[in-house]
Amino acid sequence: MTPFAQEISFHWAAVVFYIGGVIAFAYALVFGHPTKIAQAKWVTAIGLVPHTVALGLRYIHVGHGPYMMKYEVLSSNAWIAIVLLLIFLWRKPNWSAIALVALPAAILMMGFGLFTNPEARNLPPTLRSMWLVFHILFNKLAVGAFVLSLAAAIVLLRKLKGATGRWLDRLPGPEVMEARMVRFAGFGFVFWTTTIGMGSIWANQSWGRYWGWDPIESWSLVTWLAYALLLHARLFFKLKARATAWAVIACFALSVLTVLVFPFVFPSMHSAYFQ
Amino acid sequence: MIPATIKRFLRRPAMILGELATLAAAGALGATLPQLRVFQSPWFAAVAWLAAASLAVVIVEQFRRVRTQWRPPLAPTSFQSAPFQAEFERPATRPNSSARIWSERRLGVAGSLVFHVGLLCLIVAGALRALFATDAIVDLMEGETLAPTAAAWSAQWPGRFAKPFQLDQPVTLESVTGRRYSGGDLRELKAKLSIGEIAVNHQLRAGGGKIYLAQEFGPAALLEWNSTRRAAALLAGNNHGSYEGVSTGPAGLKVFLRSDSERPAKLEVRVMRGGGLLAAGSLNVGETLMLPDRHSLTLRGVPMWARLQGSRDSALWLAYFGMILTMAGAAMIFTLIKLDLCIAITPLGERERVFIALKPQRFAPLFQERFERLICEESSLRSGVSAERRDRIRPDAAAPCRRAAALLWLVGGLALTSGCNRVTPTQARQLVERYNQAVSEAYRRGDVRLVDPVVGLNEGKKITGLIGVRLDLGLTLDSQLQSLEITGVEQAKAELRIHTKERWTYRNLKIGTGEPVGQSSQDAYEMTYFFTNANQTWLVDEIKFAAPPQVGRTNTPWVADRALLHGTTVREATP
Repeated sequence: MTPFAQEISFHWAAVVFYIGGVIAFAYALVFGHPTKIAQAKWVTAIGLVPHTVALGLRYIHVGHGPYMMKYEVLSSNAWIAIVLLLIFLWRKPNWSAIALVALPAAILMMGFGLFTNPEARNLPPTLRSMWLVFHILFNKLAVGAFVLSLAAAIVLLRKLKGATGRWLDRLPGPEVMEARMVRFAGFGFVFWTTTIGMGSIWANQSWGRYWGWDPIESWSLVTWLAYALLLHARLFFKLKARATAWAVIACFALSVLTVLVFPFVFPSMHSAYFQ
Repeated sequence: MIPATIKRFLRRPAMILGELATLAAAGALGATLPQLRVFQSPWFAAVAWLAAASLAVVIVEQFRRVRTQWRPPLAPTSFQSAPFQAEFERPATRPNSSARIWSERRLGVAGSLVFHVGLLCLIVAGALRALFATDAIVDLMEGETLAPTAAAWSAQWPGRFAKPFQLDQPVTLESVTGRRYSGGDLRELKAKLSIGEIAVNHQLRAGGGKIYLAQEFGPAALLEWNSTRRAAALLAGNNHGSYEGVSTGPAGLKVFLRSDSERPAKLEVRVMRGGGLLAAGSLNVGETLMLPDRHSLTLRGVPMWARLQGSRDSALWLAYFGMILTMAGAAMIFTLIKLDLCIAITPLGERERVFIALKPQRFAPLFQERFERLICEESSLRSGVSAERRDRIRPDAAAPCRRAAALLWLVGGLALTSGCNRVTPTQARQLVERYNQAVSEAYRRGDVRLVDPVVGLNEGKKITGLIGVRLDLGLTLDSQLQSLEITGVEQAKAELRIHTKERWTYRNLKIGTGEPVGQSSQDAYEMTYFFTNANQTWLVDEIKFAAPPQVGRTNTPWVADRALLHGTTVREATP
């Protein structure tokens, strides 16, 4: 078996475990078997093992972290989102229901990556910098936090609409939900700020300027401003929970566009990493 | 001093949100339509300055607030508005009344202040850079010396009040070294200068600023026209592993150069004039190519060249300081949330009344558990909240399942939609134009490699044959696209069909002299281009005539079949 075939096999094994995790969460939460939540978490956590091995094999194969090509970028984003989800559920077991949103989103991200071009690409000299590692790491953490805030926003909207059900009732009330959603968005904002900061330092090291109004640089600033607008509007005008949840969803959509779509649309020095 | 009315205006919530929204809208506009030059416009600068003024006012206000909020509240009465309060009695533990008031994670109070100070530093640093910083660029060849003057740099971008960038001593580029991966991709690029070594991502201090090595480099051709006129052509790397460059000579001569390696022993040259190919071949260092009209071209050397960038920004430290503060402040806001806590005990004979209060600075609902723990510690009683929640059971178990499935489909749909890449008529036009441009130039120069970036295997083979036929006849084809109309676009998975109507003018030119041969022709075609997608790039895999081509010329200077020369199997009626 070639290293690439091994990598793909481990990736698909992880997908199978994650799907198993979703089914187990659904069985536990939707059909009223709360004692099975622990097993659902374990199935998901076991999925992280082949996923980590696959990313490790990829690292050995290409000689760099998951910075280039959709295949590895999306897979590592999904890995971060699932790790953040499990850490959060370990600290807050009552929030297991958000796994029903966050986990499928991570699986789709990973599955979408698996159907794209997996060609290994070497890092060009400008990308060979320690700052790249921090830049990408914090970007992935930001995406992970935004995924969790999205999950919280969707669940909050359901609750505000009066939807009931065993899995929804297990979650805390709308007030706690809203505070948690905003805090997730806040953590994402912190990580996004750090992403931009690290990228600026790296840009200065490579090109002698820390900001160049490159289209993707500009869009990342727009995303940052959108989150700043959301946080300020909530603070100043005491936005209602429903409005805040919709604003979180809109900001998440903008962050996804900035990270996954705009690099294709606008010619940018960031486009190369995601072909 | 700033009048109070202006301060009030600048710190109004609507004003601050308006500034954020305008900056976001300007960012989106500037990123989408770079030709508008939004980020260089005075109105954008005005909004940024207004935001900076608001920031300054907010910072002063926040500084005052931090000073008052830093200390814990002085008395239990300060906790009257606390979101978490509880009062209960228990057996007396002490004879006198007491009140314990303290704060946790106090640093969180300063988070917003630190964050906004950082942002202000960044805006000021950016403004100082725009006014006083300078950037410069130059391409140097091995052995070439950069004089310590501003004019020695090819281009400068000084700020409004900045001096041009110049070195304080002459700097010679001694060598350029590229290290490659085993597959051939560039891994590392270094250059040895007379003042030290420089590499991509490793700058060098010089001339009161810094010098950076860009990733652009390659071989340079030192040319000599007619043994008198000297010129240097820089060959830049393309995506196909070779380096290409062009240089103009006397009497409208133009030479296209290509090399397949960084340090070539010889270069592939094509000399052209007015669309006609005069000479083509390989040229070793020291060799001379004789051209018509007693012209000649000699290759004198092939050193390496590299691009250096110079930058001087005395406010860089402020920008870095601002970045650190912004990151630290944002982290403090969301991770360190100040809690004011109070436990007040009032003796009631053999019992005592306990008042417990918790006042979080933000996200109050998240501190319910912390408050319950505090009560448990003090009262040794357990809260029943969790147990109550667990006991609640609701009907309709299938409804959430349906909703989860709907969400799954929604997220899936979004992911798939984001991956779809429909080709619009404008993009279709660009694809056809890109192909036509590359193929026309390939016919003109008799150089089949120019079509590599735009064709697939089948079309590549066909064009290689067609250009080869012409070269065997001693001819090149000079063509001009007169009009192009996209009549239809069909797309399915990795296949794309574009239907066009095109009008072209053609003339055949004799290799060696560039003289026209035979009649020129005005042709009209209806074509279908078949594209395939390879690694996110649309390549032409086949072209078919949708209708017999209307060919203007009535005779040809060769014996070959006209249909063959058009690459079509459609037989035309002989005129």
